[in-house]
Amino acid sequence: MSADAARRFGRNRLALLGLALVAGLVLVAAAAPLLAPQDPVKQSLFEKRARPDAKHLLGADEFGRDILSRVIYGTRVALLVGTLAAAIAVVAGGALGCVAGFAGGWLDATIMRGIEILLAFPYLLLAIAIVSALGPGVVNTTIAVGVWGTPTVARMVRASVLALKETEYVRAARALGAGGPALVLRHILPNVLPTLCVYATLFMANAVLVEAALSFLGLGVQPPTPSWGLMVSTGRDVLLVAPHVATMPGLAIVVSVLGFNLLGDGLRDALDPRLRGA
Amino acid sequence: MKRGGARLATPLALLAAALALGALATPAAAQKRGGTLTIVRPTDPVSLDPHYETTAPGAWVYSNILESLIAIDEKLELHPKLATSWDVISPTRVRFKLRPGVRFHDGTPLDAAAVKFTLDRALKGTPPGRWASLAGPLAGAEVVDDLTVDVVTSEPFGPILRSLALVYAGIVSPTAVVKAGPDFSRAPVGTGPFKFVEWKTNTHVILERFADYWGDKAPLDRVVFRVLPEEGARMIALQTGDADMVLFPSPIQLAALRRDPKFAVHEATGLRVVFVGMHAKQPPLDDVRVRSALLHAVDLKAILANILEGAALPARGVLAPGVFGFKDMRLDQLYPFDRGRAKALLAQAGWNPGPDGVMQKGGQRLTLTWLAARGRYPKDGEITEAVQAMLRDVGVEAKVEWREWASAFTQFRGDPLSFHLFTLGWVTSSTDADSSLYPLFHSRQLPPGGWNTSRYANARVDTLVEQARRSLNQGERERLYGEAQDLLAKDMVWIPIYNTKEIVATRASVKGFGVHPVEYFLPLGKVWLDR
Repeated sequence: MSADAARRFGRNRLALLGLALVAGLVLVAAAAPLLAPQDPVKQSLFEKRARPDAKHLLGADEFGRDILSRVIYGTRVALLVGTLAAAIAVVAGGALGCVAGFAGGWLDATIMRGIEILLAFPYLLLAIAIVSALGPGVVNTTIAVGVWGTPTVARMVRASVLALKETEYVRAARALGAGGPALVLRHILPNVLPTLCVYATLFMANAVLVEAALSFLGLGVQPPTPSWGLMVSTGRDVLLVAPHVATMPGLAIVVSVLGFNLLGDGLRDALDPRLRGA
Repeated sequence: MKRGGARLATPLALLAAALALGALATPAAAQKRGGTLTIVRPTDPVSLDPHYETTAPGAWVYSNILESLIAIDEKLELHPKLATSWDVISPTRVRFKLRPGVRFHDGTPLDAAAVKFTLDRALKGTPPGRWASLAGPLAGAEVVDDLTVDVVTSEPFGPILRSLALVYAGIVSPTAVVKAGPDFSRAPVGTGPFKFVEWKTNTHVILERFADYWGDKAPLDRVVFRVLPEEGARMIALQTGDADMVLFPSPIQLAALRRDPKFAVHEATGLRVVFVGMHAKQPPLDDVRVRSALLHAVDLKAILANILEGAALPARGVLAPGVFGFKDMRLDQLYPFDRGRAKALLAQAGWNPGPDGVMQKGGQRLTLTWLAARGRYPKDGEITEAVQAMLRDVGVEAKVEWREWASAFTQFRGDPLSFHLFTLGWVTSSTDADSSLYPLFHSRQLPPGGWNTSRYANARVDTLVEQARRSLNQGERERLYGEAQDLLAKDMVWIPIYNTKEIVATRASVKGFGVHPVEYFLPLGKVWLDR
């Protein structure tokens, strides 16, 4: 990030709040064993749905497990799935977009028709289809969310590559004898990266949400692994008698999605002022 | 048998008793006619044809459309229904006199040919109906005259009358079956108090009062069965008045509903036992000490109190107390919750704690695979998770593979079964121990034909359940079943968790409803609405 961009970012209070939230999440995830007061999978049936008190600061769930500890460990699952899924989407989408945009012709047409087919699936349906095919679990959920994010990245990168391909410095590099791979890696990609960074951050918010949605539907992370979506799902049945069981993980989802969105918006404003308000 | 048959065949006395009971049960308010009863329940039927659908979501509907020769009431006693009397004329032949003047919903008369048609279709059809797998040696029917029919068995069959009272034994209209072909399963025609109107998959099934019913005509104009998979949504529908009746109500809201005069909670001790099954041929569960250890590791009291929260009773064996032939296995004394004993038994079997607390034997970890679904039986998912954690406390690592019900069901019914453990429920729908102990524990009743999912094999148990099935002496049968249950209690291939309570929540305006202990029956013929 250039000094100019850093200054713009530093003046954006919401962006700083986003950064703080995300940094907080990362810290919580990293230090989960130190921070969690109890074992997140340890059951104590007679303490089921305990209200928040000194022993269980956020109360206990339907198995008497400590909700605070589960929310803390849930951060790990959310960030792990989010980060890896974002990596899948960025790497796969980036590669496809670069090849399609740079090569053009039939290769471009083939890749983009495939991408359009994937984009034609409504929100979440593609992820559900993938998980249904692969089976539930943390790894497959990550893959599903990553694949779900790939088409958008590919389209975005392709558009940037198409534009950059025609710029004078790329033409100059080509005239000086630079080959295709060199052009893409050394001259085009660095200029796509800021956009990609912004997108990846914003995608994290979606990834956390999709993971939660899949787990809520019982297709994502499997019990007893603490996942926020799963916690909301089981807490929903007791919403009227013990609202805290679903509310606490729900708040965690809200906070993390908010954090990534604010950070992503801030990054976009800082890196590409022309997009302000877009 | 002859004497028992004669006693049961005294229709007048029974009728009088039923009338007297009916009079007692009728509240002071005069019965009102008319109105639509809306029922919400979690799942849609697979089919409305009793020969192909043997699970409750279908039976709740078709048990109001079709009737059997014999009915089984809420006290699990047998009563004449489409048959007015019966006589055991040989050990393999029972002669039924049919009720005269009964018509199917399509206007055709009920006669001996219809009974023969129904039995032939269920037992000899291609493929045979699901009833065939539970019907034992029932062989078919022979027409004697228009209103007399003989039901024959290939060998003496002790539970024959109860088998004919099964929900799947409803008599169908031959004319309608021939006319509709495969579509009959979406629009069944019987003789019951309600006739079929419409079925929109995963939305609703609508029934209407049958105006020409042979008995007391149903007070309700219509019944609408709606699908609402979510427990919370079903309870809200009841609260707002969108629904009059909720099947599978939320256990934790029952206490509040009982206090509220706007609602009524109806319950009966059910006939289903929900259990964690153990694959007795899959090492290390082939060792009875390991199986016993698992039983000792499970804190049933905590599960009943904190997960079922009063919505079920502790399982007292592999059968429910209402079943003919039930014997209390005294599991709380045989296998009390005792982690020390569980660990000691595992140690005897050669399993000792490893570095992470999981038992090990020769470098191999005590890891069990577990097939489970969520939402088929009350709190089945929660029970699986709780038992999984309890097993972990004695050093047994259980890996649960969650599947949706249909896929899990196919696995349970398949062969081979590659899992160590499975969460399942079994209802003794005939109310006779035969329909549980024979298909579940006879060594030749392996899936996919039978239901011995545990692959249990004990020659003595085989002999006992065979003898009991053939005997027509009910006292002897009870004794044989008792001995079989004693042996099962020692070999234990299940961790029985709970015995269902059949619970239905209604708005207080729903009158004349009683829960049937057999979960397949949802008797609506006497229900009326006070509004």
